[in-house]
Amino acid sequence: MSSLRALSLVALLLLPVAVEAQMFELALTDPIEFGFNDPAPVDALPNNPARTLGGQRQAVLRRALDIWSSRLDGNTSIRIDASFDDLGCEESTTLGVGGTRALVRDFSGTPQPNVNYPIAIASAISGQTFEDFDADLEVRFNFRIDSGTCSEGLDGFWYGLDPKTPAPFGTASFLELVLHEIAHGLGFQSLTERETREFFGSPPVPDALSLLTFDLQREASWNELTASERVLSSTSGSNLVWIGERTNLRASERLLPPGRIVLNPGLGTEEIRAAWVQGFAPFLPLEGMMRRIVLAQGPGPSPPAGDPWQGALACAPLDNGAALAGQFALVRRGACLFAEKWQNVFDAGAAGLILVDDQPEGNSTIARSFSLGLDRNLPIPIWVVTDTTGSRLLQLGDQDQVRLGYATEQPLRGTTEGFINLQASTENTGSNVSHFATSLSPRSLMNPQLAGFAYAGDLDQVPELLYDLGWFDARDKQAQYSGNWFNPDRAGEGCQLTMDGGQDVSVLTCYLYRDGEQLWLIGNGVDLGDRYEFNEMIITGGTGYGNDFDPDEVIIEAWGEIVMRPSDCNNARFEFRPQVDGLPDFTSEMTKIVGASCNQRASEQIDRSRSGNYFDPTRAGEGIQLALEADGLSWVITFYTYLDGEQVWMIGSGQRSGNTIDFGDVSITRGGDYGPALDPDQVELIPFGRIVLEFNGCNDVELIITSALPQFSSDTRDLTRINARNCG
Amino acid sequence: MNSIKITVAIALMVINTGLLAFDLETFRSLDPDELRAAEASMDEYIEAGTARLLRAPRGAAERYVAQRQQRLARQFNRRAAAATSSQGARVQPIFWPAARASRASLGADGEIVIRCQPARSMLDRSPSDSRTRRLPARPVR
Repeated sequence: MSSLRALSLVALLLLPVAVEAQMFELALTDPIEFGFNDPAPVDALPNNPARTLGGQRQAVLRRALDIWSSRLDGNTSIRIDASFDDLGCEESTTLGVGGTRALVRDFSGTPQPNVNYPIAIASAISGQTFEDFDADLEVRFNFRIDSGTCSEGLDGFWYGLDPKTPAPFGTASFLELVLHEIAHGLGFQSLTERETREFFGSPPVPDALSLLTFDLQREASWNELTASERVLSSTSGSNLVWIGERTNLRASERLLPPGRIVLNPGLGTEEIRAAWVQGFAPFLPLEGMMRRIVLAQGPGPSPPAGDPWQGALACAPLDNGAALAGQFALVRRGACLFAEKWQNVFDAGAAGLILVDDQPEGNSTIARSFSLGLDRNLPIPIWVVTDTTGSRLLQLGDQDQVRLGYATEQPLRGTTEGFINLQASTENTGSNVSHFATSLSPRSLMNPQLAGFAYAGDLDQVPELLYDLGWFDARDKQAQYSGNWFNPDRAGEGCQLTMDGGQDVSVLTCYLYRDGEQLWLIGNGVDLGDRYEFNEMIITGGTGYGNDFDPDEVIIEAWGEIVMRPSDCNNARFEFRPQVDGLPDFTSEMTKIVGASCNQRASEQIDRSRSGNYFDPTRAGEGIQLALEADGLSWVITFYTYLDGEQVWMIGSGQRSGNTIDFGDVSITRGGDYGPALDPDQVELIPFGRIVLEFNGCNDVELIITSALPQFSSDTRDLTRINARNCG
Repeated sequence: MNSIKITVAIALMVINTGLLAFDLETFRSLDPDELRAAEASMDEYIEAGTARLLRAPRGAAERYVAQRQQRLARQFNRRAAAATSSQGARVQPIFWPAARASRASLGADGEIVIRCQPARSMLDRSPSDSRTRRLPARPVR
């Protein structure tokens, strides 16, 4: 077992940090042996190893709180009452209920006087806990769903927490449900009477949501309309928009224009037709993808001989993999699940699936509502075209190409005049106003219809709507992401993130391999709220170790970019996008090697001020990165240097005593490869020796290296921070 | 008012919807099949929207369902409490009138649809004759 893997495994066993002042204070109000305390034995699920039903339910709820608390901040704890209940088993069965416990107006620090705010927002802003209520928001779930006999077609909730293993068919994602209901309680909830759209209160006053809910036709916000005008507005379709600045900014970068397929692009004979993107992120980039169309062919159910779609249903492994490899597979709808077709096309090596609808033109809502039922996430796009377009695609020649992409000249889906639409349908009017419109693509967590399938925990632009309402964002607790990250399936490689300067300059190093040798990358990032973009990662080389190091020999080259997308403070997807040497892009789902509860406010974050990057100014190009892990006790050092012109990195863990941190187990590795080629079993551990850090003030440190390897000399260096802190 | 009285008064004011929780003991004593039958025939003895009794419930399961629905109706129909002053702000309880509910039903094509609606819709029900034409639940193909 490599030391990194051992380090990771040991680290994962550390107990979560005890947090006294949380972002969310959770009260589980179920009786013993019921609901969240149900002792019924269950099998472990992906990323949810609890062995009782109640334990698994609690794990999902706490993950949901971790996700929300990673994106929000407040001046006091927000109290949540969570329980299970008998919500009935009927033709329309209730899975869960959520909302705010109270309205508050004219509280200390209120953004707008004489406006009703959900109590959670009032508490977060004012720092007050309103003692008249024992909770700020409440969520209740139907325990009878898990009986499997409550609702036809629904076997129970899915409590798995691995984004790579979405909810199987016949189950509903409990994580999606909990996140959705909590979002209502946090403020995405119209506080108007259901039928009359009168405001609550005596006298009635507008609610916070109404201030930014805008009727384009009447050119007025809801607080400026009469109740009867609001009733009309609430079913006015794309006329109803949200004008909050932050939500629309986020939506403008997340939402996609309508899809389209261009036949023979760039040949002067090009033909443009509509197409509908399906599935979940990542989607095709805006510039789209150009490939040839190949009709899928294989055994299994099929239209009869003579039908142009004979053999093209892709309900079984395909026969023409060689022709499909790297091209778009054309597949007819019908006879088996969409997910099965997607899997067979993926297994055949195709670059994407174009699914041809078998419904008459204008009679298929499934493609247009972005709602294919999918129980898995595969890395190739899945698009739907109409029957007519499918027939046209069949006529293309062997060498004709198509471009799948977007009508970038058209408005983003789910927007009008640049503003994101709220749901304002004439059907199912009960869902209106308190959700984003179903027309958004990609769909939102706050779609009126829960996805039910393949939901991986993305909050899309919902946090921004809450910021528009008055919630604080998580800018003041960026350091929650600081630490070492690794993928349990790819042990031996990882990334280390620290916040330098005033805890706001993100520096990422990633320690990887290529052809059996180590490589490391370093770069500064930009915090974009839902992700960090490290657009200028660099790779170095060209010099030696110790006395052979010459800063003038250091070669610095641009490597490419890395995007880190946290779902909470312990889990993030890292997207590696190299721009050198033909290296492939790859994505890795990483977790922190030392996890902790994310349920903390900024004021409760541990002191990570000694974390950061240090170097010897006479030896630019070499240095250390030091991270305090989330338990507040474990320190991890990564020493980035060179040997015979090549990059070398070594890593170790230690604990601090006064101004000293002793890393007694520093190791070097080798044997791995880059990206998809990494085999963690080939990573070899080589004990390096020991490193001791002696702090001299807040910016300076003495590095004492004791090497056990002959090619590395023992040495002492005086290091200083790359981004100096204000020590005052 | 002395401090003890104030404490008691505050305690009485605390809105604890947990007190309205369902009767677990009775639920566990019911025959599951009888309970499902009582829920399926709810239209016969409970008025949709109001939970008013149309006839006396027959048997333990119907009694349980009627009590559950009437408890729900009371929560929705309770006269809204007036706003009160609290720590310099005006506060007003609102949970049930504004609560949202995610509800699952079979769509026209036989696929489960989970739609978020006002929680008050939990008192509504679809016409009973639709049960006779339910489709088998399956993912759409």
